[in-house]
Amino acid sequence: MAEKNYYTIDPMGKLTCAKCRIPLEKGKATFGYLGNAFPVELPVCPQCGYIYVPEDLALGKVLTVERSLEDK
Amino acid sequence: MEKEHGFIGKHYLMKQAFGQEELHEREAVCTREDPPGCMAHCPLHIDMRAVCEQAAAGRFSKAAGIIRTKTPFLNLLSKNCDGACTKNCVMSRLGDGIALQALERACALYGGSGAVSRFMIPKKNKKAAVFGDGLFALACCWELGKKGYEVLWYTTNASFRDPLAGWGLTDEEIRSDLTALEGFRIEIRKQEALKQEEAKGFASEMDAACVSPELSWENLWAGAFTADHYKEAVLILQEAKYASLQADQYLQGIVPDGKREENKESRLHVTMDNVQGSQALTDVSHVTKESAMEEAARCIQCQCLECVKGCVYLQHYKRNPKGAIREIYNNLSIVMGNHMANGMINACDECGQCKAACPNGFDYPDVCRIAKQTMVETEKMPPSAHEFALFDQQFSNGEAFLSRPQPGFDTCKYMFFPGCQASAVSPATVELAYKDLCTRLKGGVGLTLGCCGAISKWAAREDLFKVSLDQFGASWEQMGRPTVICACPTCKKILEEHTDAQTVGIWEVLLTLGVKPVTDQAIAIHDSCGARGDEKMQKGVRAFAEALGCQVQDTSYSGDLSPCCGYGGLVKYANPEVSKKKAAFASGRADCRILTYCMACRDQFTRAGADTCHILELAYGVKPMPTPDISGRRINRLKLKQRLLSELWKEEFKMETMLPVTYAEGVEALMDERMILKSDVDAVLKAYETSKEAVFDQENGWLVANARLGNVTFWVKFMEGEETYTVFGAYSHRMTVE
Repeated sequence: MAEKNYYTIDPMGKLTCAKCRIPLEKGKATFGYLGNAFPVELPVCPQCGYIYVPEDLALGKVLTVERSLEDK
Repeated sequence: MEKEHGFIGKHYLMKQAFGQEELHEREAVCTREDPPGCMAHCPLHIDMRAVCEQAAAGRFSKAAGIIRTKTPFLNLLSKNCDGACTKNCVMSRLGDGIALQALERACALYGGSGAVSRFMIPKKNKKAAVFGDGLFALACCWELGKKGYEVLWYTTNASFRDPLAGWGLTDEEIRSDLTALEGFRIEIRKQEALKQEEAKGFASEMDAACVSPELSWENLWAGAFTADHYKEAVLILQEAKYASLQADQYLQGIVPDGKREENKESRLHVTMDNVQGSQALTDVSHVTKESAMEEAARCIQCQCLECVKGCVYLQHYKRNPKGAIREIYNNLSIVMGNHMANGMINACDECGQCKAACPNGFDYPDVCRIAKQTMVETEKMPPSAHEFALFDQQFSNGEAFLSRPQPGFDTCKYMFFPGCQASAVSPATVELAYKDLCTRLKGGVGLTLGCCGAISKWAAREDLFKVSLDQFGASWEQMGRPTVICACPTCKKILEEHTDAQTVGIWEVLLTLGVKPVTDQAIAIHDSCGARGDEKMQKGVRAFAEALGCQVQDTSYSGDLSPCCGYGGLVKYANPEVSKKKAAFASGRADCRILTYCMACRDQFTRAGADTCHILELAYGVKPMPTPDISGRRINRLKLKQRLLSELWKEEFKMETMLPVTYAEGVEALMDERMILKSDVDAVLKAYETSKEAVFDQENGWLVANARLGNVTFWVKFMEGEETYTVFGAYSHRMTVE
């Protein structure tokens, strides 16, 4: 069975790793907070593994989940 | 193989804040659910407040329905009511009480039939007998009939009409009042005469009985109940209700308690702000539908709003303290699931306004304080609620902390403790005040720049509060246990309550030393929450303001009833929306400039766009500056420390150098709103300089780098110039990502 991803962002070739100078790709990552973990797909550098969390995601979904977990 | 024993999954820390008994005791302090005067004094306890509400809207059928829950005899009532309700109506204190008897009449005239669908009547397989001929007996038939009993009415009457004759009702009115008995299982057992010895003979046919007091039967048999004898219709109905209730309890197998619903003075405090007295618009003889509606609209719907009317927080959450403490109690009892009241608990500033306003002193802030403590102890406090503020306290008592005796002194008679907000918002005022005190006071004036610990106390972090008090205590001891001159009411209160230090307000000291008039402006004084209950402080500040030449104006909600500026209880951090609303309300109370004596209040009011200044800014001629952002507040404290150390103590204090950064338009305001410090941006850029890890955003042409600082990951959007970084945005999240 395919692993469930809570969120997926495709870099669409618009983001580059500044260190490795190669485009970021859609890659697996895990968000964690207060003992909970959520597998997601985010723009990741295929070489150095640098993971990018875009502003919209941080101030949207991530913030909402943070707040609901804090009230658990 | 033996299984290992241990916890599976999560285990939970539980602590009961207080028990149910204490909850009930606390709830009982509030009288908002007590009946209004009209209802409390009505022998039948009819909810005339609700009747007025319905009648004012022209819903006479619903209004009549409310009365019919207590008695079906509307015409009888309206012609024979003793008017205890009107006499005890709060409107009678200002003019005429509401003509409630006229409204009863209107309900009888326009309230429709009282007939009850027979399907709505419960059916019980027990029989209740009623002995008597008068109104008492008829009322008992209704009371027992509506409870579903089969009623055997032993009477000399030939019909239901007879008991209602003689009360001044027309045939039509009698017929109307009797519609309520339709559908009940009532059998008239006509007798030639009612005799006690014969009645006992019927005992095998009945399970219980109500006996009219008119019969004066004595030594009734088991299961037979009577009541007191009255001549007034309402009291007869009251007694019938009482006797029927006894019979009902007996029929249910409960030992009748003999308790009566008392007609006692209502405890309900009625908020009557701006209520004008008026004359009654109708009476029972002349009532029409229109005049009844107008009369009902005179009812002010008695309620107590003392706590709610001046508290933006309670209005925001649409709560009253009594209801809210039950929610909080339940919230603390949740083991697994969402703690829906966390936000509400953390949005209370614990300012004490509601407690001061309550006629009975209902202590809601105390419950919020206990709740916060419990949340911290059980690890249920949302980490994001107070973290920034706690770091701010750490900063005030760390990097920005300064404690020195006056140059030339080993110990001092006084210590000036301006508080962390004064140094952050108006450092020039702190400097001028300290130099002034040093010049005019004898015996040496030491200086301590730091936080009193109020922040950790508001966050219910007793551990950090103790650290803060210990730090203050050590400085105070080292300075020779001086009298502490405070410039903030909250600091003064905290130090007074939790340390051995003797404290005095700076306004008091300056008034003694002499004050020159600096203005002739009209001003309104905002009393901060730290001054609540401290009349001496409130008067002292007013005397100081008058000595400065101010024309002190009154505001609504002043003194002990003053609202919070929105900073107290760390609401500014836990719930910025409520904090802004509070600041707008508190600063909007006056038509003239608002003078504060707490720098946090001044800061909040400036942010709300009000014309305001701190009383020391006025005294020392410091022009109130636009409020600094969160980074500016820290830099102000550090620069003040640096300046004073260099000028007065000839010590060098080096501030950490930051990378050169230019902020694009609007970014600093955005960072202030998102609680991102310039030092956070600096840390991210320094991390980038070391690792060169970042993402290049091709669409916008900037780099985005991040760094994890404590419990937060900060991201910065920037471009690298030859001499400076240009920052285009910053954001953060608390989740880890890997």
